Amino acid sequence: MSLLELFEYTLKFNLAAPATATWIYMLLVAVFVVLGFGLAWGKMWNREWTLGGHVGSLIIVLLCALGAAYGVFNLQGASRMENWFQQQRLTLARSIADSSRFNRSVLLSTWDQIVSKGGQEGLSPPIEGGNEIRLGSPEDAFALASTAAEETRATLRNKPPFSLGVPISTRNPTDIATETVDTVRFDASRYPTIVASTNEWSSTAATLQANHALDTAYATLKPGTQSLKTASLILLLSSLLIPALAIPMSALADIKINPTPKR
Amino acid sequence: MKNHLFIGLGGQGGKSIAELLKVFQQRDEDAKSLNKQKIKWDFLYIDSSRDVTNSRENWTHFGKSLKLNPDSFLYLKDGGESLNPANLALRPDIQPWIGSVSVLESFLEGVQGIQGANQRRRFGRLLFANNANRIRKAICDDKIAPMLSNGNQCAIHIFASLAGGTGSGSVVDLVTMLRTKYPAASVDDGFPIFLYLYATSDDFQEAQVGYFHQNQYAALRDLNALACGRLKPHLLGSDRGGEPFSGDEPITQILLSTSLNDRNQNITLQKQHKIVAEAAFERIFSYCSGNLNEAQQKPLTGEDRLASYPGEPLGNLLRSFRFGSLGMRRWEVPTEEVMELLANELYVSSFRRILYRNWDSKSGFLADKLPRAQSDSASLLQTLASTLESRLIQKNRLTELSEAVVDDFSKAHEGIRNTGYRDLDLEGYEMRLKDRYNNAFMGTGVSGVFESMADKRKDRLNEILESIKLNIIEAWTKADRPLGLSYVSDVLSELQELVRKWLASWGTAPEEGADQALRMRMQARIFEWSKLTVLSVPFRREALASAQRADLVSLFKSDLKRRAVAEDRHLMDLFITALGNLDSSYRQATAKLEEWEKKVSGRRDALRRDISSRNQDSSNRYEISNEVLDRYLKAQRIEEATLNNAADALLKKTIKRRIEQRGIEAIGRISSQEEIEYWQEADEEIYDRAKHLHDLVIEREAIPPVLGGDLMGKLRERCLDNPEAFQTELHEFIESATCSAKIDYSQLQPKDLRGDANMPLMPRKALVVGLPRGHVFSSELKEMIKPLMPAGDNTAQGFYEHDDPSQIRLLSVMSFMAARFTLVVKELEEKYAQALGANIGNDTAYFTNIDPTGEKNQRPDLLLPSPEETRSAMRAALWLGVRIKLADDSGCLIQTANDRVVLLRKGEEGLEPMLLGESITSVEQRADIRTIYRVVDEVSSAVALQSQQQIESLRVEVAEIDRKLRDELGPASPDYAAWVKDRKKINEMLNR
Repeated sequence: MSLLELFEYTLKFNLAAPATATWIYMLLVAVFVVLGFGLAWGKMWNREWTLGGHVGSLIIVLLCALGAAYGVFNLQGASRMENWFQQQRLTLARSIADSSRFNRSVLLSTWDQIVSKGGQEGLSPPIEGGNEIRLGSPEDAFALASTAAEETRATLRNKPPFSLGVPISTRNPTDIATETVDTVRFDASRYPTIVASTNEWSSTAATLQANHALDTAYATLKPGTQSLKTASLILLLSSLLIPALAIPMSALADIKINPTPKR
Repeated sequence: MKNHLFIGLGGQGGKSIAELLKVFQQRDEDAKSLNKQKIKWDFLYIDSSRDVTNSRENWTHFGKSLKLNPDSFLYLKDGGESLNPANLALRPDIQPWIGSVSVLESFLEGVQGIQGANQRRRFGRLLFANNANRIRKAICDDKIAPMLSNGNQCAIHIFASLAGGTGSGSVVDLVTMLRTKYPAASVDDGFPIFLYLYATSDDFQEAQVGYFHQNQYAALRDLNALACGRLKPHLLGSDRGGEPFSGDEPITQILLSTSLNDRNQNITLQKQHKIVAEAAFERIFSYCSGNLNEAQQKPLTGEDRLASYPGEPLGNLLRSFRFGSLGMRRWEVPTEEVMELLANELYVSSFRRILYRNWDSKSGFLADKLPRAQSDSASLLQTLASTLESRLIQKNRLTELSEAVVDDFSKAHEGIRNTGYRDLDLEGYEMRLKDRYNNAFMGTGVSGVFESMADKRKDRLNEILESIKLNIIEAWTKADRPLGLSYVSDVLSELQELVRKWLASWGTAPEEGADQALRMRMQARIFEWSKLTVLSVPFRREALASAQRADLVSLFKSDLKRRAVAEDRHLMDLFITALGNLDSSYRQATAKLEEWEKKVSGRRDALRRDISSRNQDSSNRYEISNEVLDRYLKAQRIEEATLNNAADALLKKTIKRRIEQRGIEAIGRISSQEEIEYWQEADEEIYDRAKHLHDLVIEREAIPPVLGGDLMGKLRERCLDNPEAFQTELHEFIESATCSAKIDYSQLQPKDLRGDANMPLMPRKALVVGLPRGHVFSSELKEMIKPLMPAGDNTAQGFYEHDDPSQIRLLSVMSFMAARFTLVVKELEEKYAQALGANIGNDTAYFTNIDPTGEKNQRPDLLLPSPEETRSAMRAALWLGVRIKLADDSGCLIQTANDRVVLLRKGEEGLEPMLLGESITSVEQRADIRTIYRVVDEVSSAVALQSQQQIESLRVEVAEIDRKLRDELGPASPDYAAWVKDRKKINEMLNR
C-alpha cells in the first residue's frame, strides 16, 4: 500500500474504530500548538504579540495545529492497528463461523453440490427450511469445507479491515478444504453423517480462511504502518517546528524598526 | 602802503577774502610785481561761524586750494557756543554798553548752538568783546607785527557786511582797537583803515533771520559817528580797561558795495564780492604801480579832498565824507572762464560716465540711463545674490553642523551600545541624545551654537555688506564695461526683492510636516521597543536604537535647518534693513553725483551763455569766437578714450578712495568740509586733464586754441579792420565804468550848505585804466582811450600797466562822499525807522545798536534832517544861543538889539556879529539852511566849551520852562507838543 492509501486506511480505520483517547490527544496537541506556539511562544518574542492582528500567523498556527492533530491521529491509529489485528484474529473467524447467514449460505451451497449424489433423504433442503445436510463421504465433507472457505472469502470483503480498503488475500478453497479435512480428522467410517449448518468443517474452513486473510492483511499493512508512523511523526514535528520558527519571525517582524504611526 | 592786511569780518567778509585770494591767484604776475616792489600782504578772517570756511567754492581756484592757513582764521566761538552775558556784564570794557542783560539772556536761551551772531549786532559785539584779546593778538602780533620789518606802516583793509551780526557788530570796535594800537592814520606811511562794506535795502526773505536792514542803517550811523568823532566807543579787551576811544581819524575810507550799481544794474552779492576784491587789489596795484603820479593816486583814496573837507555841516561834524564806492570792469580773453568751461565740460562727461555709462558716438556721454539689459546690472545682481547666498548658515554651515550631529550621535550611540543600553529604554536613549544635542553639541549645545551665531550676527552682516560693497565698487570701477552708479540702487532693490522671496520661501518649507511624521514614527518606535523581550532584544534593539537615532538625526537636522533658517531670517531681516540703508546710501550717493553733474552742467551752461552773451550788463567784456569754442566743445565731448580715462581717474582718485575708507556714505552724506576737499582733489585732476585734453583736441582737430590768447593783438586787428566801430566799442567800454553803489545826485551839495563856492562837488570820481605791459598796441590804445574818459575837476583819470596780456582793466573809485549820497542809506533809514516804530519791546533798538546811546538814537543822522526838524534844531540852537555866555564876558552867543538878532562869532581880530534877522521869531521862521547850519554849528561848539555846571544849569532851566509851559498850555496842546520837539533838540545838543 502506498503511504497515501495508508493514510486513507488509517483515517477510515480511526473513524471506523474510533478511540476517545485519540480525539483527546488530537485536541490537546492542537490546543498546544495554538496556545503554546501561537501565543505563548510569540509573547516570549514580543510582549505585545497576539494572533489577532496577524492573519498569516494565525493561519499558520491553525494549520500547524491541524497538522499536529492529524499526526497524532495517525500515530494513534497506527499504534492501535496491531492490537486490533490481534483482536480480529480472535473474533473475526468466530464471528464468521457463528454467523447464521454464513452457515446457511454454506449449507445451501453445499446442498446444491452434493444433493445430486443423493443420500439426503429425510432431510429437508435448506431452501425449504432444512438445517442439516448429510455428508456421505469425505468428499462431501471436502465440498462442505471448500464451500465454507469460499463463503468466508466473500464474507471477509464486508468485514474490517477489508471493508476499509485493505486488499484481501485468501487461500484457495481447495487448499483450505484439504487443510480443514485434515484438521477435523473425521473418521471415514462415520459417514454418512448428518451435520447441521453449524459444523466443524465450516467453522474450521472459515477460521483458516479468515486468519489467513487477516495475517496477509496485517503483513501487508505492517511495513506501511511504520512509514505511516514516521510520516505522522514528521507531520507532528513539522507542525510543531513551523510555528516554533514562524511565530518568532512574525513576532520579530511585528516589532517594526520603522513603524507606521497610527493616525 | 608797503604792507597790507586784509581782514574779513563775518561771513561776507570771509567771502571777500576768498575772492581776494582768487584775485591774487589770477593776477599772479601782478602779485609777483608787487613782491618785487617789496610790498607785503597777509589775510585774516574773523567769524563766529564756520559756514564760509567750510564752503569749497570759496577757497579753490581752478583746482588749486586757496584755503587759508589755520592762523588766518579766527573763530569767535572757539571757547564754546555759550556765552554768559551776566558774567560778561561785569567786565569794565563791556559793562558800559551791554545794556539790558535780560534781553540778551532771553535771546541767548533760544539760540545757543546757532552759528554766527544771528543778525544781532549787540551779540556780535559781545562775541567780539569776548575774543578781543585774541583778535588783537591775531591782528597786531601775528599779522601786522611781522610785516613791520618791511616798514612801519600797514594799510588795513576790512571787509564786512553790515546786515549780519558779526561783521556789523564788530566793525566799529575793530576799527577803534586798531586805531588805538596804530594811531598814525596816514595813507602813505601810517596805518590807514579802509572799510569795504556790503549794504543793501533789497528784501531777502531767506537772509532775514534778525535785523537785516536795521543793522545796516545802525552800523552805517555808528561808522559815520565814529568818523565824525561823535562816537567814542569803549575799547574792548583787558589792556584798556574799557576806556573810551580817543583816537583821531579812525577810518580812512568807507567803501560801500550795494546790490544796485550807479548804472542801475543789479549786482548779485557774489558778483559784489568779486568786484570789491578785484577793485581792492587793483587799487593797491595801480597805486603802487609807479605809473600814477600823486595827483592820480590821491583820488583813489580820497585823501586829496578829505583833509580839507572831512564832513558836514561845518565844524561840528555830523556826517563824514569818508564814504565812497569802487567799481571794476575788464575787457578780456576770458581764459579763466573758458578754462572753467572746459573743466566743467569734462566734469559733465566724467560724472555721466560714472553715473550712466551711456555713450553716444555723436553726443558723448548722455545723462540718461541705459535699458536694464544693456547696463550689466543683471550681472551685478547675480554676483551679489551669490555672495549673499554663500554667507547664509543654510549654505555654508548647515552641512558641517549636520555632519557634526551625525558624528556626535554616532559616538554617543557607540558608547551607549557598549554599555548594553544599561537602564535605557528607547525613550531614555532618545532623551540622552536630545540632552546631548541640547547641552553638549559642539561644546555648548545647539542653542549655544546658534546663540553664538546670533552674537556674531552683526559681524556676519557687516561681512556681507562689506562683500557686497566690494562687489559693487568692483563692478562700478572696473576698467571693462563698468556699471553706472545710477543702476546700483536698482540692483539693490532687486536684491532686496530677491531676499524677500527667499524669506517667503523659507516660511513655506514643508519640513514641519515631515518632522511631525518623524516624531510620530519615533513615538511609535518607542512602543515597538516596549515589545522587546529577552529573546527579541538581540534581534531588534540595535536596529530600533539606530533607527531612532537616524530619525532623531533627521529631526535635529531639521531643527538645525530651522534654526539656520531662523538665524538666516534674522540676518536677512537685518540685511534688508541694512540693504535699505545701503540702497538709500547709494541713492544718496547717486543723487549727490547727479547733483554734482547738474551743478557742473549748470555751471558749464551758465559759463557758455555768459561767454556767448559777453554779459554786458554788469560783468566783463569777452573777446572770443563762439564758433571756435563750439567746435572745440563738440570735439572734446566725443574723445571717448580720454573721457574714459578722466572719468576713471576722477572715480579712483577722488571717489573710490573715500568709499573704501568710509563707505558709500562718504559720497551721499559728504560733509561740507569733505566736499570741499573732494572738489579740491577733483579740480586738481580735472583741470589738469582739461588742459591736456585741450592740447590734444586742438592738435588733432586743427582747431584754434580756446585757452589763452593775445587780447591786444585781437583788438589791434579789429581796430585796423574798422577803426570807427572799434572806437565805438572802446567808448562803450569806458562808459560802462561804474561803482557798486547807486549815487543820489539830487542830494544837496555840501558846498551849498557851507556857502563855500570853492568847495568841490561831491562825490569825487577816479577812473584808472590798466593796460598790458609792453604790447605794441598798448600805447596806441592808451591814446585812443584818453579822450574817451570823462574829464573835469571832479574826475581824476590815469593809466597803469599790468602783466596780463589777455586783459584791459577799468577801475573806478567814487570817494569824498557823504553817506546820504548813496540811495541805499535813505532806503535803510526808512526801514530802520519803520522797524523801530513797529517794535514794542524795543528789542530792535537793542540788538541793532551796539550801545545804549545808539538805542536812544543819540547818533548824528546820516541824512539831512527834514525842514521841520531843521527849524526845530534852529529853535533849539537859538534857545541855547541866547542863554550861553561867551567866555570873555561879551554876553550871550546870540544877542538881540534894535530889531537885530546877531550871532557873535570869533574872528581873527575879535568878535564878529553875524546878522541873523530882525527878531528871534523871524529868524526861527525865515532863516535859510545856510544860516541854520551856521547857528547850529556855532551853538554846538559853544555848548561843547561850557562847563558841566553850566550845562546842568541849562538843563534845569529847560526843565523849569518845560514845567511852566506844561502848566500854561496843557500837555495836550499843539504848542506844547512843538516845544517838546524843541526841548528834545536842546537836550541832544546839551548831551553831545
